[in-house]
Amino acid sequence: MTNYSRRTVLKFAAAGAASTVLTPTMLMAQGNGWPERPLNMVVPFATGGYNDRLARAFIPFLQEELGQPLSVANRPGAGTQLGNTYFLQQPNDGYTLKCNSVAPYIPLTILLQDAPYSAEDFQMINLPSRDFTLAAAPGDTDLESMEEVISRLRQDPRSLSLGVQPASADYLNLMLMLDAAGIDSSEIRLVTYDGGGPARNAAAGGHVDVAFVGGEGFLPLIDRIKPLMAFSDNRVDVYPDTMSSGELSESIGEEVESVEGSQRGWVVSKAFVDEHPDRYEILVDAIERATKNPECIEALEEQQLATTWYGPEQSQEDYLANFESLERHIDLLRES
Amino acid sequence: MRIGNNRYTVDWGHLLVVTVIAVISAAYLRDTLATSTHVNNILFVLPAVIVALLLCLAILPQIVRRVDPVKGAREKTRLDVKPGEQVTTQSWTELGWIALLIVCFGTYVYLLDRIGFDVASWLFITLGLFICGERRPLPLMIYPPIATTLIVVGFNALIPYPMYTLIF
Amino acid sequence: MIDLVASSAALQLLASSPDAWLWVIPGLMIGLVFGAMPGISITMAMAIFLPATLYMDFLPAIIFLTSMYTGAGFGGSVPAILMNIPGTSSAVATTFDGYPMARDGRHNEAMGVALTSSVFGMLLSYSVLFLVISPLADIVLGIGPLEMLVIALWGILLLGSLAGKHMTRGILAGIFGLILGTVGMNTAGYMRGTMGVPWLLDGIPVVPAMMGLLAASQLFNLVNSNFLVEDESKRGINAGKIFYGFRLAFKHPIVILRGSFIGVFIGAIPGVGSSISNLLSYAYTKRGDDNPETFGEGNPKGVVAAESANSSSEGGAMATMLALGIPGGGATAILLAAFAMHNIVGGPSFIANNQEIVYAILFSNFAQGILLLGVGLGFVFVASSVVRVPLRYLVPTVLSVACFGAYAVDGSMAGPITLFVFSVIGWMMARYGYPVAAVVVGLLLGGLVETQLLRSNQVSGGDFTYLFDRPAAMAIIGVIVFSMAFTAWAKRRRKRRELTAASR
Repeated sequence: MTNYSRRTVLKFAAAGAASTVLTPTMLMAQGNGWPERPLNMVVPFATGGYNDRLARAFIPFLQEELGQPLSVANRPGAGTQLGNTYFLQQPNDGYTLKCNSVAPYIPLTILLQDAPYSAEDFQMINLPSRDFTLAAAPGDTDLESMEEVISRLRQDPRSLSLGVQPASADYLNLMLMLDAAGIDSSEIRLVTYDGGGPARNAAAGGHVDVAFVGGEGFLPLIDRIKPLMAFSDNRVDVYPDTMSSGELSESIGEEVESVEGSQRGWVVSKAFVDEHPDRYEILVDAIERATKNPECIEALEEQQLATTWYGPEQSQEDYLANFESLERHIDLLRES
Repeated sequence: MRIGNNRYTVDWGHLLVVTVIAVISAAYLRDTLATSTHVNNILFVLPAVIVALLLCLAILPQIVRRVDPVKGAREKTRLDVKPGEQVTTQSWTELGWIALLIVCFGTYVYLLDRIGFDVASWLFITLGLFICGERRPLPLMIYPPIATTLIVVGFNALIPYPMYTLIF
Repeated sequence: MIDLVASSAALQLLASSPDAWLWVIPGLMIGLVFGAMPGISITMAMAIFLPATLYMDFLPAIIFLTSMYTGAGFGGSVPAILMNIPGTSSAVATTFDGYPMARDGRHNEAMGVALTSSVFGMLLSYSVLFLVISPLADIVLGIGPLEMLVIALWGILLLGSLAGKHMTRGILAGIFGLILGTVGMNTAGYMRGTMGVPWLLDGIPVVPAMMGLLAASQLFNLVNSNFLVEDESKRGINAGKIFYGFRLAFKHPIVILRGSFIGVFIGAIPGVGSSISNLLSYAYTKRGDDNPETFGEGNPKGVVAAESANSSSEGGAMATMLALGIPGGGATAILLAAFAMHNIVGGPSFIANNQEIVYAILFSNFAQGILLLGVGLGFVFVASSVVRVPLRYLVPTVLSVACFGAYAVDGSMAGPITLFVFSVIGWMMARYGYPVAAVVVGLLLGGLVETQLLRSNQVSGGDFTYLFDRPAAMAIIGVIVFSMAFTAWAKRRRKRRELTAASR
């Protein structure tokens, strides 16, 4: 562990100065056409979260492509509603982008908080980060499998405590599963958490029997939990040994529907796309090239951030599909 | 007010404070009950508000004070209060200046994102300086722009949020 | 439990790149400045400087970031003492006695006491962690909703000791705070009291509300005063007195030790951490003291209790992060990100596989603590000059800075609006003998109490015998009851002895 490559302070200072002072001016000098001035990246979360880290890690590569510096503007609050509203209030000139967990937050703010915008106001450029709901039990659990959870709940809905964040995609997945298995959801013993982190800790600490939370966040705790099922039609790469809800459908003979837990990535406003299709093309190209830049892939992977390129059409389609399934089951969400 | 041999006064300001607390608590309880009467919603709020309202009732008698016939007149005015100490001795002039400062502060907050943080701060610091007793024109002209510049530039450098300014 | 091989590997690691240590002083200074500015959190500082560390090697990067973290821990106490502004929730208890000391012209001493207690708390916490970091992960995960509820209720018991002259008003103020602390969306997803304002969904913004209640409300009353310290002869900045404060802190060894231990263990709990530990430590010190009435009037023991607890909490939070890979707050989330950039992933396996790195971090924090003593002294020296500024300049300027600070919390007008509303509420309440500090404590604890009460009820299915399945919760209750009974008994005995001595 001691063979670190030693770099002198001077070298660092040069690199640091170059990155913060020289680069923007150099970039501006080489810029031709749009964009002509620095851009903003709205992050509707506080500093330190996944989206904030994703934006800050990706920006160096994106500004290389755009030839203009980009700065992060954090606008947290009200489950991204404040940030989304602020974002849509900016001029439609393409100088403001957004990095957001579009799913489930945009649908949920619209459906549950009467947010003053609609799903179609946003145009996805790329949603590299996808997550799924994972059902996980504490490491020392006596539960063998998801089938056992179902059979115990069928016998006595109050026999197991289930931890989940209310009004979330995870909650919806849980309700859809109970529905398919014919378990009365008003009878179950639900323990509510106001975030993914606390719910995961509750599973790892053995305070709930099963927790339903986004799967990627569980990875650091993998030694202390027992993954039971991923809510996805097929098995997921990060938990290859864990059954999927598609497999559960087969074993209980009922279709278990599931929605994607979260979709995160780069967003612009629909109004901007209509007004400046040429600028939109430039942005899409720049983000595509940055996403596919091997240096960028390496840097982001080191920080466990996603870089897959799905493209605007696929991303928008996935995002709207997620919105529709949340909208379709809005009654299940309202009950929480 | 006179009952028997004693004179009583009602402390209207104190009554206002208790009323404000009671009204806010009661309105909050009403809104909570309107949202849902599920136990997950009212488990804590309902008992807490009830206790708060009972305490407001218990405090009501303290608002009516007996006037001490010997001391009678008001004590010497004192503006500066330690935390937790009750002040009843601020004079009307002093209260007026305080009220003016509070109004200015409220207006300042209202104007921040309407006329820009820089201009609003410059105006507020100038007015605040005057309210707090500075009457010489030169400091009133020189200090506020300097302070405003330092604050705006400093905060702009430190925070990761956009800030609406007119000049900077 | 100490791994000697790993320890020596850690020392080698630290010695291998001495230039990494060049980053300690700038890190500490950045931390102090960001920490001392109200509303600006250390998370922001670290988020801003994180990209710069991409160009550094692992060790300098981590030393630079942890130094900022260390510096910010003390930075928050400076405005708390000088202006009654707790820049973060962990400095609330520091204002209780720190600010009265400053008004009394004892600002030099107060700063000295705060700095020493902070550094001592930090050193002690890292020493404790050095011993128990491996089992800590299990302890922290084992803390469930009922245990958290008991700890939160313990904090609420403190409200009684903040009451001051009028007990009913003190309790009402505390309960009013608790009620306001539950506004917004609760943990079960119910939205109440938001009046249609979107940002109230996240609850009342605590830092701006605190600044309004404690600081702005006081500033209004200073309209016609001349100086923060009325006695001109005491207005100086005196190194001798700061050093006297250094020694003063060690005159109360029990207070400083107790504060540090409370801080380490409460700080290790993700999500509560330092905002409760300083209150608990303060309450304990006040209740156990021979002269509880001198607290809140400028008793240095109050500052010792608060500062030793909040700075040792940082060690606790750092340990949770290392041991679980779970960030307790934004700042530790950024440290985790910095680790990840260098291919080191936090989590239970992290400690087992990378013991030398864990120990290297602990050792370097130890060294940072000692250096903080020097850097902090210089900082205190500069900051104290505030007492020489005439109040007619200070009052509008500080109100304006508070406004910017309130905006800086999350970059929205929610902050300044909350600041203003609570400054008026605070001024009115203080005028009629309601302890605003109790409202602040209530506001801090309200959401926590409701959340944990709700979860305990959900987990247990409403069955009270659940308590008997939770030995940890019973143990905490036992500690509370025992310590309260012991203080009461000790006090009575002391009084009786005094009485017999007097009658003789």
